[in-house]
Order: sequence, then structure tokens, then C-alpha cells
Amino acid sequence: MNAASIVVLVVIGILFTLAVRRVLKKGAPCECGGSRKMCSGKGGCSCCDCCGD
Amino acid sequence: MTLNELEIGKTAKIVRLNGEGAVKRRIMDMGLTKGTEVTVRKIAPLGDPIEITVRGYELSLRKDEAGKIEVA
Amino acid sequence: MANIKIALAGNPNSGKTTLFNDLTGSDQYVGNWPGVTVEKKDGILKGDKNVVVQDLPGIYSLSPYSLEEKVSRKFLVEENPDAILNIVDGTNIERNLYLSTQLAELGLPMVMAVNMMDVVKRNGDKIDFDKIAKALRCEVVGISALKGEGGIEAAKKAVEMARRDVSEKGPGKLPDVPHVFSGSVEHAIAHIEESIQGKVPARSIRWYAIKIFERDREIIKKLEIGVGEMKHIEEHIRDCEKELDDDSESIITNQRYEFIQGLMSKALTKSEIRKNKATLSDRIDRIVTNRILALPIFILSLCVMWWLAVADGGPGTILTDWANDGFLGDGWHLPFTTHEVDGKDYETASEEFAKAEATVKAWEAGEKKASVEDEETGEISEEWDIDEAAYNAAKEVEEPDPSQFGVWVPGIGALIGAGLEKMGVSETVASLVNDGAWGGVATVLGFVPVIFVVFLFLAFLEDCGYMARVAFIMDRLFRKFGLSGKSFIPMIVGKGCGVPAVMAARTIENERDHRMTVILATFIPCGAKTVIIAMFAALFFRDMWYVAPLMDVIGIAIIVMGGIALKKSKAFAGEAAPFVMELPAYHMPTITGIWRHTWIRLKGYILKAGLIIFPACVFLWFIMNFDFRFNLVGEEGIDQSMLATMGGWIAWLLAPLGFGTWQGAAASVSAEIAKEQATATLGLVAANMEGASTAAHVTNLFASFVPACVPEASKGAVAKLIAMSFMVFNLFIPPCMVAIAVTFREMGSKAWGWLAVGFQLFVGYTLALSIYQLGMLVMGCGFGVWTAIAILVDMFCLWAVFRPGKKVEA
Repeated sequence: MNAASIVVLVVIGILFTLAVRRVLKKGAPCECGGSRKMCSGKGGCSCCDCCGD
Repeated sequence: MTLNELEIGKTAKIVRLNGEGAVKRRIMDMGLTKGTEVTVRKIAPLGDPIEITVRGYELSLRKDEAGKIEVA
Repeated sequence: MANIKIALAGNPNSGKTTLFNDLTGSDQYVGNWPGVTVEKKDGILKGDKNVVVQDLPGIYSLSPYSLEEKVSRKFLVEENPDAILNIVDGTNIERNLYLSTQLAELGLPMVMAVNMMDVVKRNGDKIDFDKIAKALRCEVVGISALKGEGGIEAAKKAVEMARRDVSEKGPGKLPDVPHVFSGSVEHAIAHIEESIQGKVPARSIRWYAIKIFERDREIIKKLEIGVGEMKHIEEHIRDCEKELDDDSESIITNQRYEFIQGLMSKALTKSEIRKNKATLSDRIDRIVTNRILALPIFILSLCVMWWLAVADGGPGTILTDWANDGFLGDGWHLPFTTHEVDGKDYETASEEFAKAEATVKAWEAGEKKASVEDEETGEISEEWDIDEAAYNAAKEVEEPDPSQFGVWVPGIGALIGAGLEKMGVSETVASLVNDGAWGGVATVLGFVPVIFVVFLFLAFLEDCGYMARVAFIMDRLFRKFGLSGKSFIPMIVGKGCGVPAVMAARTIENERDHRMTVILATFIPCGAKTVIIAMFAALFFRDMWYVAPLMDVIGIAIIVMGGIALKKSKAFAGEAAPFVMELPAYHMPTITGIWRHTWIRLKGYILKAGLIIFPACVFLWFIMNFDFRFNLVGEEGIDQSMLATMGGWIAWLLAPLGFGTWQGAAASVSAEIAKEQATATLGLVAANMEGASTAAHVTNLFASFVPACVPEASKGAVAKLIAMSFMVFNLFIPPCMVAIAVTFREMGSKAWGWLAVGFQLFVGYTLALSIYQLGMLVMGCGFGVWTAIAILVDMFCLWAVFRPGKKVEA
């Protein structure tokens, strides 16, 4: 495996980790367009974006 | 006569509200009180519910709910 | 400076959420039907970070009967907002003031913002704010939330009042509250106030007293009023009831409205001209809810939406093809820059080259015939004989350079591929990027045009007020199985995403009906499922435009029939829910409004592609290219990959549906992450099939599912049948994981959650089973064990729907 391949792999790995972390932290985005600003903590939201629980 | 018997386009005054519980309360909250004028606007395509004009806006309610409202 | 809390309260449809967005800058979605806001939400007031604006659900009253009222009441009475901003619909002011009188009695600093003043002015009506302010002891201002006029000023006024109140008067002082009732009632209220002195904050004592007069059980319990005391109070209440010949609740309601009517006779001047003219809204309504036209119009509007989105030659497909092949794929020509070279345009030149390539390949393989396939359908579109002369000629044909035919913009896919090649990245890693990560995401992003059309259409219908009408029209139908038109609203919401749909069911008070609605809400194809429909419509049903709207129709049919069947079971049987609903006037949606709603959803979809589809595809690529010993097996050894093996473990479950292969299983299971993932997964797992594009791969994949016993002539049709079965299965089984999680939460208990999921699984499976088995009976291998089972299950379903049940109102 050459240097270029490793670079690309690392990049993909980073993007992958970032995406997964974001989803775990903030919940999955969905087409309802919910935004975290609406949420006043757990149970206070009306869209999927913040109801990751 | 009860509200569900009122013909389309006709106006009448509410005389008395029968029925009870949360539905009656809701109907009253929406402005259907004794002495209020109501007009029947239309009937839904499938025959029920009906649409009435009350206090300047449109309200839909079922025929059996309307049947508990006496009008004259 | 201490935090100030402003409560935003008002009727549904009064423009409250628009005002909230205006005040807090949030992008909260605005729907045009009751029940969209089912929980309180807060935001920071623009320009003053010490002020929190709390948006309460739209309510008509502070009675304790509906969920929205309970939530709002609780907040207003227990969480001590510093001021109330009461939004009132100026075009519907009488009924709106009913709530206002109750809010005013809480004794909190209050500002009334009379909204829709632009419409009031246009109608020629006049409202005297001073008179109302005097009567209700609050500040009254006019605003137009839609136009962004006056909202912030109103909020600022409320903040000012709150700050003044805190510093000057405080919660202990008696406020100035309106007295709207008659002598004897006021008398009784005064008595009650005496008895509860000290038990409640002084400012709200009147509100509490009135509630007790109405015999509000919640309040009575909360204040722990002793039996003896209550008896004493009862005497007063009964005196009034006897005198006015009515129950105390009705007395209060009646007198409130009488007070309002009196006030309006002085404060509201209606324009004479308008009184008798039928508004445009009325005229539209007459057609749209017309006895005969209503349902056809509804179905027609669905068809129009789908035609725009997925019909061959329609705007949706044109854009999607450009997105898939051009923008994200190989590349495209800027419009109006194309020209011919040597008398041929690019397309013709490419076709010639493709044929030349085919000729060379065929000859070198020793064949006597060459052929080219249609990229989309994978079917052979042309075949011809070849000889050595043709071969030699073909060898000379050069690949046309697109940049010679016009301004050529390379597609992102091509750029990535070329870039990786230049960097010298190894083939495997290149595959990870090109086929796995990018390939999967590109498949999903390619459908953005379709999603865009659907969301745009939905936004238009919602914003103009049509959706409330649909609930009105559907009510009768829904009553047949004990629900109400109100249950149809979550289903419309579901066309965008299933999660808010399930949550919108909260407005249904009856727990039984609420549960039923939650179970049924996700059967209408959501945005993600629309992508599946789009892909299959493009690949297999291009000539059958009606397949796409058919999926919506099937969804509705499942809801109706499923509802009827569920209602007949003991768990859900019972009286039909009441249906009292306001029908707001139609109004022309603003371009910004529609765009905003469309964009919110679109953004969510694109974000999802980056955050969910991307990692999912990377993961899938990995388990598709390696076996359990982490050996690289690649495309040739794909059947030894982890994914193939795992898929094989459950593939047999899907065999009766026609796609009992590891690919079918992988796609279906991956769809639970996000429904549109199914399209990406199909693209990935079909990579080793024949064909030059993802579309061709997938088409050939399904062709490979056709069992051997099918006669040659029917093979094409059966492939389509399997595609239909697969599509239906994925559309009507339980929704994606996020939606399932919300279902469990809304159902309240795990048992109900599993019931919902089980029911949905049964429906999806049975539907796909029936389609495949009955289709095979006609087109394929004839009668078999599973055909019989399918028929039996279908008969069971029909029985469940049509059996005599408990008497439900007709």
C-alpha cells in the first residue's frame, strides 16, 4: 500500500469518525428539518434532530 | 330543531346545548353558546361532517355532535 | 440582569409559530393545521439574550381537557413566566378573545398582539385597540407576523412590562384583572377567592377562583381544598346555577362570550362591503370540498406531484438523470454551448463509439454478433453481425472527447476517480472511494431533484391551507374505523418524514385512537421511501407512470383497511372519536414561505446523506470486500464476503417474496438505517453485475433473481414483478430505526411498541408475498406451496377487515 492510498484511507477514516460522532451526539437528521435550537433539553423537542434518546 | 337538521345556507340561533363532558366543553369553547348565530356552509363530500360559520370563522363538526345542539 | 421568560400563547392558526420564528430567528417548521405544535418550545429573543420566549401549543381555552391545553396551562400556572404575549387573529377576533380573557385573569403582565392586521385592513375592517386594552387591562398592539411587522416591538413591550412588574409590583401585589361576569357570578367568585387566600399566588387568585367555580377537578385537587370548605363553596355555585338555569362551566363560557360580544360591538367595525361578498377562499373551497370533486381532486393532486417527480420526460427525471449521470457522474455540457463536430452531436458520436467498442470486444472474443444494451433497463437495444472488416473499421474509431462538443463540466464522480488515479492510489482504496463512499452517497444525492419536487409540492399544499380541508373530507372515511379526520393529518405530515408524523398523533386525546394512528401513520411513503420509489420507477417502471402514485394509494388503503381491522380487535374497539375542528381560510402561500419549508426538508435530506449514508456505505463496502478472516475478496470473490455470508443467513426469509438472496437481504436490512440507504446498498451490491452504470447493474441484479423455471418470454416481466415486490416490502414494513424509536416512545410501553412493529412487518411482508406469489402464478412457475400460503394469508386479512365487528357508527 503506497503513501497516497494511506492518505486517502486516513481521510475517509476521519470523515467516518466525525459523522458517527455527530450522529451519536446530536441524533440523526431527518427530513422534518428539526434543529436543535428548538429543544429545551430532553423531551422538549418536536423533531427527530434532537430526540436521539 | 337541531343543528344537523338545519339546511345548507340557512342561519339559526342556538337555543340549548345538550350533551356533556369534554366534547360539549370544546364546542362551547369554540364559540357555540346560547344565543349565538350559526350558518350551515356545507356538508363534506362523504356526507359527514358539516361545516358551519360561527363568530366569523369556519368550524367543522360531526352530524351527531350537531344533533345535540338545539337551534331556532 | 435576570432572565425574563415570555410565554407566547394563542389560538391555533393565529400565526403564533410565524411570530415565534420572527422573534427568535429559529427555523421551526410551520404547519397550517391544528396540532403541529404539540410541545412547548423556547428560543432566545432576537436582540436581548436575557429574554427567553416560550412558544406554547396553540389552544382555544385553558380548560383541562386536551393535551395542548394541559401543557400550556401547566406552564402558565406552574412555571411563572414573567409576561404573556398573547397573539390574536385579527380576522377571527371574537373567538380568539375567549382565550385572552382567561389569560388576562392570570394577573401576569400581558401584551396582546393582534395579528394579520394586513388582512384586516385589506378587508376594510377596523379594530379599536384602546377599547380592548381598557376592557382586558392589558396592552394591545397590531402586528403582521407574516410581513414581519410589529412582532419584535410587541415582544419588547412585554419584556418592558415584565421588568417593570418585577421591580415595581412583584408577584405578591394584586394585579388589575378584568371582571367579565355578571353580579351573582362575581359574588360567588369573590367568596371563593376568600376561601383560597394564601393558597395561591395573589396575582392569579381570580383565575383559580373561576376554575374552582367551574369545578375544575385538577385545580381543586391541587389546592387541597377540604371537603367541608368545598361544600360551602358548592352552595354558592349551586345558587348561581339555579338562578341562571345552567351548569357552572356553561355559565362561565356563555358569559365570557357575552362580554366579548359586547366589547366587539364597540371595538370592531366590520366593513359593509365585505359582508356579503364570497371571498376567493370560499370559492376555492366550494370546488375543492365539493361532494363529487373533492376526492378525485385529492387523488389528482397526488398524481400531479408524482408526475412532476418521476414521470419519464418530466422535470423530475430530467433533473435526476442529469444529477446522476452528469453532475455527480461522468460530466455534462453547459446548456446552449453544444455544437456538432463532423456533422454529429456528442450523443451520436458516443453511440457510434459504444457500438465500435462492442464490435471490437465481440470479435476478439470470437463472437459473430455484437450488441449494445440500454443503460437504464439493461435490455439489448441493438444487435448486428460483424466480420473482420467491421472489426478493423471499429478499431479505428476514437472515443469522442466531450470538450470538443461544447463546454464540458466533468462530473464529481469522474473528477474523484481521475484524481485518485493521478495520485496513484491503489485499486482497492480507489474502489473504497469510488464505489463505496462516493458511489453510495451519489446514488442518494442523485435523487435530490425528485425529493425537491415532492417537498415543494407538499409545502405548497400545506401552506395554502388545503391540508385541513383534506382532514375534513376524509373524516367520514376515517370514522368507518373509529378514527377521525384528525388522524389523517399525521399521515400528511408523514409524506415528509415519519418521525414528526408519529409525534403529531399526540393531538388525539383518546389513547386508543392515538395508538392506532401511531401504528398507521408511517404507511404513507415518506421522503426517504420516495427515493426508493423514484429509483424503481426509473429502472423498471418508466413506461408505467402510475406505479408511483399507486404506492401512495396503497398506503392509504392500508391505513383504511388496517384501521378497520384493528378497530375490530378488542385492543382498539370503542366509540368513535369526536371531530370538532377549525377550518382556517385558504391563503396564497408566499414564495419565501414555501421555499423555506422546502429547503428545511431538503437540507435535512442532504445532511443525512453525509452523516448517515456516507458512513453506512463505507461500512458496507468494507464488509462487502472482505471475508471474516479479513482477506480482501473484492468484486470477484464477493460471495465470500462478510456481507454476503450474513445476508445469506436471513435471505431465506425473503425467498417467498422473490428476492431471497444476500443482496436483497442486505439492501432491506440496511434500509432500516435510513430508507434511502436501500438504493445505495443496491448500487453497491450490484457492482459485479453486467452493465456500464449503476442503473444497469441494479437492473441486471433483479434479472438475476428470476428463478430458472420461468419461461424465457416472461423473464423480463418477472424481473419487474420482483422489483415491485422488493419495493413494496421496503415501503410498508416498519420505518427506519429513528422512526421506530419514536414509535416506541410515543406508544408509551414496549409491548405496544412491539405490537406496532409486528403489525407493520406483517403488512409489508404479506403485501410483497401476495404480489410475488400471485404474480408468479400468472406469469411464472405456477402453483406452489407459497402460493397457497399467500392466498390463505390474504383470506385471513380480508376476513379481519370485513368480518362483522362491534357496532361502529356508520
